[in-house]
Amino acid sequence: MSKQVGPLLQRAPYRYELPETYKKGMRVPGILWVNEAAARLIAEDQSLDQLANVACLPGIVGASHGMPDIHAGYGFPIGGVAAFRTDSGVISPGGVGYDINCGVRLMKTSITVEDVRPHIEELTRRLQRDVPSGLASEGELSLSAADLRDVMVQGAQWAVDRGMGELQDLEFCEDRGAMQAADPNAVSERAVKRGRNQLGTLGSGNHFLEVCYVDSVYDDGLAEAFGLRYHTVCVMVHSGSRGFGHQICTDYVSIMLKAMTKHGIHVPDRQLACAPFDSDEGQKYYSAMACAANFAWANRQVLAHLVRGVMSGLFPGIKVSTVYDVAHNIARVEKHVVEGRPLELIVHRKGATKALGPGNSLLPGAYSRYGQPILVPGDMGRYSYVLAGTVKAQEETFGSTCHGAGRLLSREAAKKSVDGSMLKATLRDKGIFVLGTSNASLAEEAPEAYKDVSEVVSVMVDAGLARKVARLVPIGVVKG
Amino acid sequence: MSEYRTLDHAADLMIEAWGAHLEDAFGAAAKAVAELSGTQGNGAVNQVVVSVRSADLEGLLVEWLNEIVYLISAEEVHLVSIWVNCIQREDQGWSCRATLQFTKQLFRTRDIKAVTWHSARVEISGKIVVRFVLDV
Repeated sequence: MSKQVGPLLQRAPYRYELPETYKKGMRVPGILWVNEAAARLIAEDQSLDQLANVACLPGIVGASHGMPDIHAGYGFPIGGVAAFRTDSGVISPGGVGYDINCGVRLMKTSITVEDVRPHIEELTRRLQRDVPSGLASEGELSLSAADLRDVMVQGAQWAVDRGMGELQDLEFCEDRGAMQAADPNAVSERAVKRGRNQLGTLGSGNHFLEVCYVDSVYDDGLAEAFGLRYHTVCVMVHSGSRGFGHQICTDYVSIMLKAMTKHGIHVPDRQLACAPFDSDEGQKYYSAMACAANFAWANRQVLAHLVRGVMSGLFPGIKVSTVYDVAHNIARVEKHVVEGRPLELIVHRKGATKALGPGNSLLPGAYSRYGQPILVPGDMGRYSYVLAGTVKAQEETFGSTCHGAGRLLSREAAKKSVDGSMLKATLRDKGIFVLGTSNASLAEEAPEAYKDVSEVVSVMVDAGLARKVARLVPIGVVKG
Repeated sequence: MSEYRTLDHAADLMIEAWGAHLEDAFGAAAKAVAELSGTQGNGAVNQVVVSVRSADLEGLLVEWLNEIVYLISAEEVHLVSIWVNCIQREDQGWSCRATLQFTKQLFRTRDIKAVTWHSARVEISGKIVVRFVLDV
């Protein structure tokens, strides 16, 4: 017999179903991948209603999924995954979010925490100095309109071709750092103007650079395959498509709101504005979104290049190489087997990470036996995780897992309960040197504002949707 | 006189702004967006007239505030005054016309990605109260 938690029915350990009867208009159930404690919290939360709203969208297949880091966003919940048939389903800009291809790049180095710790303050200060936040300070790169069109099409390759990176970086980016669907003609002048000076900038909010080290290895074989040895120093970059992507989402939500009447689509929340994937509006959005995704990959490539410059300056001879680069706000055309039949789907992941299992043909050769590295940042005071994808995730969640810890406190609540300068001092006592643009922005991103990412990861691992590889502990953090 | 306050929201920022008239409330909302961006500026003061249209008042609010976001993030202005001249009903919905004075932006402390459509509300009951969520 199924255990009931509020409106949720437990169908298996860590798998709770929100039945279609929960809300009028649901076409499929919702599925939450959580433990019982989280299920009880979420049963009272707005994110459950958002999960149900997504289940109302035309052409949705299987279920509206919520990962264990789910929390209320706007339109789609953050930590949401939904797949729609490309022949009869929709694409929704709100299902990707404003920060298109917000994502994470993890780089490993050839040095250890023992080498870096004596220099961590200097290293962090140099990272903050040399990696622009982009808050009207502009990046080093000011692109012409022609350059920006090239970035939109070529993605990370654009930066590598100009000496900002190594060919190997591309090998370890999802989609090799560029989606083929990009068409600059689908991008507005406004988006171009908003993005022209922002390539190679970190941004604000929850974006960050983190110097960390491998403090625990859970699977020797996987960790060795990913190059993550005990005490290896790594750098994590969290950023996205900046104002360029934000404007593309703004433009297309408005376009789709107007187009919905024409297409006879009604949505329970206007942020879920959508159009049939095969419509003119749907295709143009997908092309523009791909441009923003490629901008984001180019952005993280340039940021990685700036990080390499800083690391080489302080540690001559160091090698800094990409472990993997993942998007966690994106929609992609993918092939999945649903009820025994292969289907082409447009899979939306908003605050969720793609997770390919061993043997998947899309994996880089070096990882094909092991599965995809899944990068799960935690918070600046505790730890982050590297996981590996499983075949079960491909079967159960359209190959998706969590993307982070998930917020516990709102930004306002965090600012009320945390003093930014005290936080810096406390973290310093723990051996973590933190720099931010302001104490208020640090308070908003305080560790206590986030769930413990280890609990999120445990659910993923215990549910069989990922394997635990290694844990990373921060020693230096630059917040945007 | 117009005012605003921030409300609790799980991941982003929810704003409530109010005024005696629609123009006051929309002006207060724009002031909230500008102040939360944390801009500073200097130099000559320039002026621009902004007009937006939408099918309903909630849509008008979102479109109007996204103009403010665009000016701050793309045109890199520091807004020194916001005058919402007129909000009126038209054949196809509603329109808003405003006069903005601005200087060159030196820096800002926060990127506001967009004003979202989720939870956008315009309440008319005595005073005008508007609510919206900023993606930060």
